[in-house]
Amino acid sequence: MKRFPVVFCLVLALFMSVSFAVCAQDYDPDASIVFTTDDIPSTLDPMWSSALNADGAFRNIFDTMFIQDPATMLLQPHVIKEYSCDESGLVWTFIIRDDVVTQAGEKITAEDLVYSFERIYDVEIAIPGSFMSFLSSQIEYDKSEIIDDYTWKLYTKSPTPGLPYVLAGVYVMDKSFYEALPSKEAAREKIMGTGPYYVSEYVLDDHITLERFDDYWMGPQKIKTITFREIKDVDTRLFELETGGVDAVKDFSPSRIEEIDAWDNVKIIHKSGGCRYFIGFNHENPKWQNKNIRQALNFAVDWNSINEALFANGSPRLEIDVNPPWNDPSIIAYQYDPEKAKSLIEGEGYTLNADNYYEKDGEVLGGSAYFSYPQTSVYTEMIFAIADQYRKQGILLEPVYQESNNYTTKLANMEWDDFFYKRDCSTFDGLGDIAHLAAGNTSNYGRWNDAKWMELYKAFRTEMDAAKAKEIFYELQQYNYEEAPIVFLTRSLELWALNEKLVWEPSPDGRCNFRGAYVLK
Amino acid sequence: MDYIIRRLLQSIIVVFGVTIVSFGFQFLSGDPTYAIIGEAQGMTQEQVDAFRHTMGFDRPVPIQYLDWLSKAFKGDLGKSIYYSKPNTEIISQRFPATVEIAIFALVLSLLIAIPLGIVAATHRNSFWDRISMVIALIGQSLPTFWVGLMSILVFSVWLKWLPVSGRGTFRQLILPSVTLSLYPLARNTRMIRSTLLEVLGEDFIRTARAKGLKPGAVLLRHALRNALIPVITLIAIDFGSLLGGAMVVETIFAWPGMGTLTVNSIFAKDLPLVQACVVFLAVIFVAINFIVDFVYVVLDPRVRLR
Repeated sequence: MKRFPVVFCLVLALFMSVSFAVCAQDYDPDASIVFTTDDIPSTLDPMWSSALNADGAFRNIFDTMFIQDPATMLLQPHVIKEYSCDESGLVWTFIIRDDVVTQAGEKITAEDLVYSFERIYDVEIAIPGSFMSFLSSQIEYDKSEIIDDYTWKLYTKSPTPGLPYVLAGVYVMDKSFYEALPSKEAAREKIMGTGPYYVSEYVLDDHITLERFDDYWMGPQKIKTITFREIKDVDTRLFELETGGVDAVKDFSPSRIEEIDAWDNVKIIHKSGGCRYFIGFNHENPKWQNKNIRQALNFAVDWNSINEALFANGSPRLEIDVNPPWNDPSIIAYQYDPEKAKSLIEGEGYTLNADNYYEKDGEVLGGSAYFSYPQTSVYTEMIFAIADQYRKQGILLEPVYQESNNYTTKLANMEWDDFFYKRDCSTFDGLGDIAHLAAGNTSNYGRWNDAKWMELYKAFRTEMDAAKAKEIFYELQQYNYEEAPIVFLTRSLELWALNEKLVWEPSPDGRCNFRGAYVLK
Repeated sequence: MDYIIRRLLQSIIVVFGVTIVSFGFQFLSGDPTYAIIGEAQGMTQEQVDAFRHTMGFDRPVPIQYLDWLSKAFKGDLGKSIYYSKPNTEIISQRFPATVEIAIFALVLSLLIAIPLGIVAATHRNSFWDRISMVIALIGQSLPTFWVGLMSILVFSVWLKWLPVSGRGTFRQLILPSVTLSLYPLARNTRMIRSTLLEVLGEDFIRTARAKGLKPGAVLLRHALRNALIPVITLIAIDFGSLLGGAMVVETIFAWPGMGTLTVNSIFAKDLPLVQACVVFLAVIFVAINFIVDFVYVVLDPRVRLR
């Protein structure tokens, strides 16, 4: 009898290990998935990637120096396992893992990281306007020093606390492979990464097929093959999903959520993305230099109605134009309060005219709002809905469509009077989120130029102490909220429709990184 | 010979006009620099200016045009910004897919339109005439995007007979080709019917019948041969349109041809490639029409006499 507990424990242990083994094999190790979006890479050189969706394929082929957790977007060590910065904020030391290998089995060293980093500054490679070009603009790079195979010292010309976040976007590339190519342009057709998948087939504008790299340094992935298919038409993408031709679809209108949800074997995942929609003011126009008026326009937006009608209640109001994890959680979004809007406007001496619009000194409160979204976009419906809400409250906002190039040119040259409507996208790095309001920034179309705002922005930009930086950034956000230099609207709604068997946590940045994903048997 | 030379000169003028228009349109909506780099996020004004200089957009427009034209004459249609490849290389990769779908659609349309047109003409005002005219009317009235999506819904989603999209197998060719063939099918059916009716009323047809030829021989050897001459012009125009105008169908069916290439280049604001696509398709269209004019002279002696 005394042996009973021992036997019982052994049987239990055996049962549990068998159960775990069964559970562990619950996924299909030979699974292939097809993901479709409107864009696949236009070349195999990630430096040329200008589209977010296209960039997703590279996230599976390459490793980045750091990585952002797809759930929280917080920075995590990756190829760089440790880092430190000296007191001046100008000298960074990075310790690199010694077990990272390329898909050809070559070890990755500090030399490769320096090569990869300096590549984003190579004007012959990175096209203007591309993501890599954007990253390079974030750091005033001075030089690099290789201490040993796994230690890299990076010198900057100015303190850059956000540097690790920039490195979370830089792909690790094999220096010897890329330097052995006959020309820099050859990298657009040859590829070598350290990521969990390698390219097995690439047909321009059609598909890119990735195969599992079994010797991946973090262990092999659970999906064998991933195909990224380019299908421009959203209806076709959804038809493919409905018929089982593809397993994952991105980018469709929120108005289709209910319909797709009813399909067999399909599930919908939605997240607040990294792009923030807002209405910008022309701050050179005295009409919009009044804080109370700007606040009134924020209070006059009935977001709940828009959210319910256009976004199936999936897109909350933007509380501040900073993405998590950097946003100050104590800030509550402007609530719809027509009475408050009215009192703020009337408090500034505006009265309703015969057309029922507020007017002061013969000038109506409002004007045209340039936008460039296509007519079918839900975001076009959004601005028209706001225009109607404003109209009922005596504020004139007349949406005027501009062809995108015309739109950008007019905004850049200040050939507009009152409002512009757009979105601003960034990489969840805090600083980049709010940079569009910084004086001198080319995308500060409204010419917002506030001394206190800039002082806080510069302080945050150079503060190396994390706790202090957070404090300054929260103060900047509070100030930004109070000043309301824009009408805060919403974050982009990132939508995915997936085969029910595909288990995957998409990242809110919209990039389709399938690390950790698996397909149930 | 005069006629051919005249037509050749006209064709050159048309191509020249297209180059001016396609080059000029990039300046119609603001600064082409911003068209390419978008919102220039993270770029300084100096970088924007440097890029404008690299692209040559800071030179006078006529100089830019002459520079582009001289290169185009040598077969250099510039380099794509989005694909980072010579435009001629990209076009040569994509053009076969469009030719494939265009030929299949055209052949399909003729295989149906010719018998349908003959039946309609030879059985004028009959039930079959009315049916064929209804088919022709439907084919001409329905927008391609709607037909494409409906055909996917019916044949791929409901019946599961054919794949939704893509290129690679014969089954994938069927839906886009059928969709694309609908309009030329309808138009050619109507054209064949009306020209055949006209020819059937001519004196030489009466003579052929008086000679004792069988009705089938009169129809095929005498009437149809003459009735098809104007149809040849339409076929050429159709073929040119199919090569250049398959954008909607190619986009719906994710067919990687010239149509999707042009759409991609427009969305990517890749102005050099947009220009190259427009000029290339215009040259093809003009060349086809020139060849048809030449064939027309061979087939119809009256053209030579005029």
